[in-house]
Amino acid sequence: MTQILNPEMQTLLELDRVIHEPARLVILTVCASAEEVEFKFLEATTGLNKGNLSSHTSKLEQVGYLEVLKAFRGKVPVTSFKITQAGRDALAGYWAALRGAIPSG
Amino acid sequence: MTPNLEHLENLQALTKEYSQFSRNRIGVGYIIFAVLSPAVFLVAQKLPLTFLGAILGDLLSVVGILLWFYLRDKIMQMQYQKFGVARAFAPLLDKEFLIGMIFGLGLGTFLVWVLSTFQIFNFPNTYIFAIPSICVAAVFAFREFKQNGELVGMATFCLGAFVGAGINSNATNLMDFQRITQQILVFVVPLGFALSGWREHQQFKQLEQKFKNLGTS
Repeated sequence: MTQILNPEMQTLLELDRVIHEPARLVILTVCASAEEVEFKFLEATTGLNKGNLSSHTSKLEQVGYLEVLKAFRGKVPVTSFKITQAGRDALAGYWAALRGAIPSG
Repeated sequence: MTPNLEHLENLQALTKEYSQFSRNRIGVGYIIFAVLSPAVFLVAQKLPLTFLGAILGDLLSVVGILLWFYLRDKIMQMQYQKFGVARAFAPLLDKEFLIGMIFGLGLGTFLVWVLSTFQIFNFPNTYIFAIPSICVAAVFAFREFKQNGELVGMATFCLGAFVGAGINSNATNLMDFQRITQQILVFVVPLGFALSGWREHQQFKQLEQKFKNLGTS
């Protein structure tokens, strides 16, 4: 069965799947609103538990959307995240594609 | 987790506002300044009008500033970074301001050097301390200042310590006038800072409530 998709549906199917996942969308949105955010801050804003947050940020790091920064504050290890230019472009592209998929009128 | 557009916009706004408290809003830090600065001034007034007194005045201002920065950072960590650190983007204006400040202080240092070396203006002997002080202040300010207004704060500290030491019971009418001017600066400027700090602290309290509501929404 061959089915021709309308352009809006085609756009939706081509959305960036990495960002389309709700938790990752929230993480990337928060990271895009500041220069650098700590793991603890992402925990507070996303409401995700440590394991889930860690797995989502790892995924975003793998695709090059987030940069992970490890440091020590005194003796306490601190993990921070910084959105990359690729991540910023991907997020902007995602919203542009989503807006484009909304039927006009 | 099912974020909608409104939720994402709220998170963006919340992050932007909160991140200011990790960069250039110091809240209670201003109130600490408002207490420390007049205290430095009052102590400096008790110093003798001697070479040693001038050195102690210098030391007092340095200790006052260091203590203020230490307490300010502690307050920021304990009070305004409860939900972790989120550092705001450095506004372009801040960078331009800092570059301008370094340039201005450098120029000031050079002028002091020229005026004293060629004896165009006879500075008191102790004024020689101004040159290294200005150099150190420039580097220190570049590394430590979180807000443009803090330059005014540091200047007030220095005014309190350097000039305050020059007031004694032999004051002439001119010195009385200077004293009133100094006191206005040393006590009124910190009051303005304290009010500003209190306002920022109240803003953070509201922000904190929004964070708590995040968990329940």
